[in-house]
Amino acid sequence: MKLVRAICTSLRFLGLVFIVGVGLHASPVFSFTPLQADFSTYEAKKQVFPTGDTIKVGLFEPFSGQSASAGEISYWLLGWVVHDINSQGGILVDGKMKKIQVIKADTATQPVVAKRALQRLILNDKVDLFVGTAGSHIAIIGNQLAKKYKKIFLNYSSYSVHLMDAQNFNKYTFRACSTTDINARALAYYFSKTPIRKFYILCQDYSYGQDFGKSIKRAMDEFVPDADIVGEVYHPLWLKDFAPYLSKVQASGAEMIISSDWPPDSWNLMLAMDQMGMTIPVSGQFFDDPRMSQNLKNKKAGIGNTVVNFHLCNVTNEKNSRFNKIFHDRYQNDPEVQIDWPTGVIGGVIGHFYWLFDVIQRAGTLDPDKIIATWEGDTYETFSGTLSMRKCDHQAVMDMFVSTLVSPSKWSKGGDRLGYQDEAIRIPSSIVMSPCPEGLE
Amino acid sequence: MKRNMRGWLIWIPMIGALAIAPQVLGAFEITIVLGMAIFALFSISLNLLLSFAGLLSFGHAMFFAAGAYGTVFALEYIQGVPLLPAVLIGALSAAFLALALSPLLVRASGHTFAMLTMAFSQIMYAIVMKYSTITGGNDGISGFPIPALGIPGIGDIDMTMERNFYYAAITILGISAWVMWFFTRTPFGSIMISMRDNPERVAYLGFNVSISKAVVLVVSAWFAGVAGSVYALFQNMVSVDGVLGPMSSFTPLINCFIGGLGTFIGPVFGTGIGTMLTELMSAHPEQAQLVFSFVLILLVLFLPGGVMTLYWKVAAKWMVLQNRIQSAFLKGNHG
Amino acid sequence: MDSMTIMMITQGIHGLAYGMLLFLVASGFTLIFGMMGILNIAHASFFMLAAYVGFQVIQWSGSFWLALIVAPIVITVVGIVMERVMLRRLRKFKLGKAAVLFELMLTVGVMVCIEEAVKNLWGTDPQIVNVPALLGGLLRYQGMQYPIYRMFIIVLSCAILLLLGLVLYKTRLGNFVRAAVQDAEMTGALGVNVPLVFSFVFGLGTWLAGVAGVAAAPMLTVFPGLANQMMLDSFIVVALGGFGSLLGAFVISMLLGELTAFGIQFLPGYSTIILFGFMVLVLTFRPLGLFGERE
Repeated sequence: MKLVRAICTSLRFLGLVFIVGVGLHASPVFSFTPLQADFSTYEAKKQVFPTGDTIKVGLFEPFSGQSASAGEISYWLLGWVVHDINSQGGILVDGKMKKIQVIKADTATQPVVAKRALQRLILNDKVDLFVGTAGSHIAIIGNQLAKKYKKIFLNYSSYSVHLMDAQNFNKYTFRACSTTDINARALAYYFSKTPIRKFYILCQDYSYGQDFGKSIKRAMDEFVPDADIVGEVYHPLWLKDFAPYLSKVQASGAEMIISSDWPPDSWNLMLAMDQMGMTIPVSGQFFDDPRMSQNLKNKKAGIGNTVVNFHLCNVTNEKNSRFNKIFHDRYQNDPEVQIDWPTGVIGGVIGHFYWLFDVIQRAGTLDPDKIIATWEGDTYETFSGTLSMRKCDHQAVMDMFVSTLVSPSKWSKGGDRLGYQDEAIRIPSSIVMSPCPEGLE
Repeated sequence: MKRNMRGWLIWIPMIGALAIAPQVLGAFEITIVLGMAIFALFSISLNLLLSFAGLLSFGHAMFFAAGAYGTVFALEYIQGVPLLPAVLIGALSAAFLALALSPLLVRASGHTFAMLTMAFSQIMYAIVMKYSTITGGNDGISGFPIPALGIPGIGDIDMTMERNFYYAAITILGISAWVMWFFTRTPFGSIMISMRDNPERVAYLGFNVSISKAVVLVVSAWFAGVAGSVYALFQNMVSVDGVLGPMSSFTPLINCFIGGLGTFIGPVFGTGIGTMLTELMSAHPEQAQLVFSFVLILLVLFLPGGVMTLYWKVAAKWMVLQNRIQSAFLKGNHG
Repeated sequence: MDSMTIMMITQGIHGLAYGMLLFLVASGFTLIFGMMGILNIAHASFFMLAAYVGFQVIQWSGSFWLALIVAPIVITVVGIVMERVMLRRLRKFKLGKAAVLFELMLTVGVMVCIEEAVKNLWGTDPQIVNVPALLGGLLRYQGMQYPIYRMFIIVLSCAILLLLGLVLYKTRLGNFVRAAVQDAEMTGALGVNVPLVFSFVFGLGTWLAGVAGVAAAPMLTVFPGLANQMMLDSFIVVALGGFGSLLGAFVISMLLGELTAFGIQFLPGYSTIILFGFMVLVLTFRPLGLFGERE
């Protein structure tokens, strides 16, 4: 009898295991996995989004003005992720499978225009959440309106450290990208292992550039005490003529320019250096852009540029290799896109979007408070490493990667031009992360 | 008397429409109406200089900016400052700026006045950018507290509620516009117009042209300051490109020209047309500006009096028609 | 040479290159104003439009030199059309004193129109124009190196300056132009076809802006805000140099170029304040400008 009962129990147990197993196995029907879709059909410029009962995501980016290319790139990358998820059926939220709809809002990188556009996005287009944006002075508006209208705001490309300090923090805003502090600490730590000691700081004259200037000086004091900062200059956003600034740099005898400039300033800086025959390398986050390097005439220009990011395509692991392959297969022969490898910013932003939608999928709802509860303290595997969302200031914790540019590089178009060195250098989060800001716990 | 009646015919429907707007329109549309009202006041203040004193300013935005920064600084640095004094501080700073610049500005007219005002607004732009630690520069200052409006006997009204703020702002803007309208009707207003047309004669009559010009300038700056101050409160933000950007002095000028020079109400129509165009074409903001510039060019070339000329033409036709009906009626009576 | 000397010389040449470009734009601006009394706010927009047209010609033909010839001609045609169709029509209205306002507003309208048209046609992204291969290299001298292209801009501007001088001071047409700048009515009374001279000067002015636009394209990137700084700078040049004075325009352009370059070196952020402050003083106490002769 006992034996029969035991057999019965174990059968029952096995049955349970079986049911759970089937259940677990079946659950992917209602959820998405990154990089499952057929991307050969994905055209960034011809995207059509479902309408009606959808998850409405606002894309809060410049689509006009001099930084319009930043908005177009975000549209392309967000579209990539949305294409992937929608072709897998969407996300199960509030008991219903919903597809994602993207609605653009043009900031023009001007605070006033941005605020109007975001108000329209929230009040008129009634988005469920919004993502953005280029320019820390624009992101701060995102912070404020996220708080006012209780909408989730994912910040994936504004790096000013003060955006998430005690004064500007709110529970609806999450920053998945790094900060000026993290970037500066990673760079300084990297330089402490190199013989380079004479640095010149060249940044844009607004909060982000100034924050980066302060961050890099602090980080240098900590990691490279014998560093010599031979000069420091802040130029207006969207500068026309870099030549007088570069002559100033040249006269200072700097070995390395550290710059937080982003396109188009970062391109124009490199082009002006190229025209003036300067080969001083530049380090920062945006000096790996293939669209810029293909216009350089001088063979030596850009070599030694040092790039810092939490994602780089020369980070070697299985997940990243698969991502690189899928991306490269899609874009290596696309005449419209000059970026054929998922470079730092490109691959990084795709990772951030996957994280956002994965959080929504696990929260199973669009209710902001439940999304916040899921996201706080969450850990997510992106292509290059692990991101975890710090509860105190909603800042993602990450390992950073640093890589210099070489030529020829296998990570360039055709494999014979300027691109990353073979493998990136990992700098662990324990070194790059600064503690929670004062006043936040 | 009849003239006054006609004036009211414009004012009353406008006041009525503005009063019921929040009941009819959604939250987003209200912000459009309020934004339009702010720029209408700004354009009217510019028009005061342009149509009534004959002075073309290419830098009127500096007074708008002074009002905005004045109010914002008051809210940032003075603990517990109430709403109306904060607006007043904005208006005062704009008026003071005008007063300080008037010794240099009153000597000029025509191109020189235009270029001087442009130079001053550029200097202000450069100063705001240079001292960005105080002014916020490109980032601007945002998120400052908006105090409640205290009315004796009623209590505090929460200004962070959109509808409350709308009514308070519209009242301030409306009263300002009315005061300016009244100002043009005073004897001084008439002097102003004759000064524009024939300064020598006014001087001969014993009026000091320079001082009169300075008075107009200060009054105009004051109300531009009020508009700027309300704008800063409305946006809860002030940034250099919003108040001193390349187009910020030209946009109100264009509004005046589209609405029609020489009239008080013209700039309001101009602003309305501009806002409507922008909203109608909000999916293609770039093309909206292009269309707007076409409208301006065509108006200057074919209808130099602006849209108001159309109104007059229609009104004149209407008068003719009315007379005809009346005379027909009278004839009929006689018959 | 030590690095300090090199820096001083390089900054000096940077200033010269920008000053020369500025002079090309401002000379047309000041001629048009001196002659017709029109402050053409859209003048710098022609400069920008030329840069875009030049960019387009290079895209189609691949030749910078063709662009340098074709684009300014296109801009001249646009300018002459503006003068003949718009400004001349406005003169017919007999607006009296108010004419100044309407002319200014018309040019403001054209300025906005060009800027928005450019955005619609070419988008708002910066466009990169490469330096022509012939002028791509660097000039090396005693440890100093300087891009040949910027030198070329200086040489080109000098050549045009020379040409302009010859036309204005050595030809019959130049005599008419100078006479009309001094007193258009009197010149007309003497039997000169003043409207034709007006069109010629307007065309010449926009052609100069056009050449400057194409020449500037590889040096400054081509983008829709290109006209803004140029407009403000040419305002300063014309107000300081004196309305209608070519010599004044030249001297102030050079000064402004150098002040910009050395301002970045020594006083970052202050050069604009200094320049506009100076402009205010001159306009107030010497409304004719430093080199101006008449209102």
